[in-house]
Amino acid sequence: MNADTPNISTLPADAAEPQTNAGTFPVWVLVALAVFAYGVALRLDDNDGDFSAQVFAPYTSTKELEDMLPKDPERIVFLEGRKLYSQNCAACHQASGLGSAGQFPPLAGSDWVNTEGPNRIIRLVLHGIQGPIKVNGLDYNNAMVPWKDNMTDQQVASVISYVRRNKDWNHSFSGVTPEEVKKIRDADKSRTAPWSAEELLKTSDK
Amino acid sequence: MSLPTQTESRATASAEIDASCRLPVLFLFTSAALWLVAAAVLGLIASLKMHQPLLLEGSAELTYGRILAASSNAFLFGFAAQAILGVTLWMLARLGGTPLVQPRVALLGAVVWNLAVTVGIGGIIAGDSSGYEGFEFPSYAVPALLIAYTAIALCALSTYLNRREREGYVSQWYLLGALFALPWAYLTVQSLLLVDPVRGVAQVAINWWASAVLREVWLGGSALAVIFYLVPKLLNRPLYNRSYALIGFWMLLVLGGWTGLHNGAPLPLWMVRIGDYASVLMLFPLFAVAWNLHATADGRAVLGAECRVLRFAGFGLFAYLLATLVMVMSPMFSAQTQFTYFTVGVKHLALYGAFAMAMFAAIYHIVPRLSGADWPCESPVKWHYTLAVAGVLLVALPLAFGGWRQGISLLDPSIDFSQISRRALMAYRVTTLGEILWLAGSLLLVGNLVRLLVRQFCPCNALACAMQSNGGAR
Repeated sequence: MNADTPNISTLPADAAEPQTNAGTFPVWVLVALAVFAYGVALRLDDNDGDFSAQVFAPYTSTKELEDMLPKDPERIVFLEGRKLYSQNCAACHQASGLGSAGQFPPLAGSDWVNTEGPNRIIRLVLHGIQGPIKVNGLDYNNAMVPWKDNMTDQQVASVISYVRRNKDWNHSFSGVTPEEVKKIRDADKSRTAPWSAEELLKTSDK
Repeated sequence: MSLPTQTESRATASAEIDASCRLPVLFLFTSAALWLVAAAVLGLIASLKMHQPLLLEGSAELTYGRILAASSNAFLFGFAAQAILGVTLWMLARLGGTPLVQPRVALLGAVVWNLAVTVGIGGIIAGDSSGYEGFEFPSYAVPALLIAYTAIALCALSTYLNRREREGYVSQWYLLGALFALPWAYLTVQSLLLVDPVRGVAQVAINWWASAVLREVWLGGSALAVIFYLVPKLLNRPLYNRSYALIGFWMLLVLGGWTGLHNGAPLPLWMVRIGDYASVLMLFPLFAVAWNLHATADGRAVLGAECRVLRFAGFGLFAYLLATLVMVMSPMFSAQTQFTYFTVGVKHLALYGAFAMAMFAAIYHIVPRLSGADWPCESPVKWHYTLAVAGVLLVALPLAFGGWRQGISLLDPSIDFSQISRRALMAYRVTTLGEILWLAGSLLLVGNLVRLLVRQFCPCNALACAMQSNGGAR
């Protein structure tokens, strides 16, 4: 190993390529590794968020998320309606439901919404409305698009329930069920044009 | 003395092997050093722009986002990839006891690789970055990279299959792992994020997994290959324990990629947790590596060794252990360090402190064997060591400490955000100094290489060289 080596260049010759002692692996290290890995696996099992794609920090389990979901069916409808309202209605009627003066009539406190039965407003949402309309004594003249092709009965029911039962707007009228919407949708099947205010007022709200 | 002694025949065999590696490996190392300088220049500009945002403001090509990406890609694929491939070709040949297979193909591959990296960096600067960290090369640069890499990798693999020593040495495992890790991670990113992108959070997860494979298995594994080769060889002692090395290698290979999904990441909890626990399990390979090398050295100095190559390798090992330890522990303090410069500092220590220093050790060890002469002067090599160490520490430490303080301030709602950001800039002012020192060190590396190669291979210098080496023989 340490014998004099002939120089083939200006470099001193290399030592031999490195060798390895074939040393065995100490059992205690192997045991420690196994115990450590097992402990880590147990910790992971307690903190894995049930391997659900829905669970993000700081939540740790699907149960925790389920507990936060609303249980009350009316509340579920209200939340769905709120979502639909903000996506589809709030652009004109505003999140506050107050509309904008001279352009879009209000829903909050509106005499069109605050009727005993919801049928008239169901018709209005399904087929839209065009032309002059008097809301709370003020005149508006604009057009609202029909929603019958873009919303299911369930969705129309949710959004109207949200508007009619919104406590922030001091509304506490009856909600709407999908069956009620379906009945009106079927009855007005042949209708193609939007309503006018005059026409709508002739129909019954119940 | 009629029969050649064992040492003599070994020296002849080594000389033959070195001759077969000469062209491709010297080309790879020299171009790696040049790309290192390019990366350092770009990194210096990026560091300056961090606290002098008005610098070079008129040019879209020199905006921070492009410059930083160009710098890190020049480092990764200009410097790191070529240094690793050079080490791989030489070490697989040397440890296998067989000459390099098809050196001309490897050389051609290296030339194409350099062209493709140039196109890629140009593409990033022109604004065609792919947008995934670490994989910013535009898609038109990738096919050429793949072809060039395949050519070189096939030479390496054939050389390995030709080996005369059947039982592989630790460094061979790590280098082969690294040889496959780069295309594995890179092609995953290309196919799942760019050609046919997956949707949603999976994109982030794949990007981080691939970055971790590059950092841990490709760069970390290659650094360990060099350290595991040089420490026993230069101390002339056998490696302490093969089983320790085995477990270190396999655990790094299995866990490396998982460590990329760190705590605080906006991913489903189970991904983050698996990343955390993979990081914690990395303690074992880390321990195995540290203990194995500690027992091999058996009290001999590595970090403060006389031998300059060993000092580079020793600092690389020290930085590797430190950076990996901090990374392993990071789930415990991620609340303080998330969204701060802390992780940037630790990554810098891993990339420049651990990986690059190990590669410098390899280059300083291998190049004299290929060119047949030792480095003409001692002092530039020593200066490179000093400048590189200072450069690494002056970037990594300010960012780590500044980032830590930044993180604690961010948790205090009474401190204004803009005030925290302004205060954290001081760290970046110091890093500019570090980048300048690192650049100077990189220039010295290029200078050392050029001086040695010109002296050895330029015909007009041959005579002068012969006289000098006779006169200056130690």
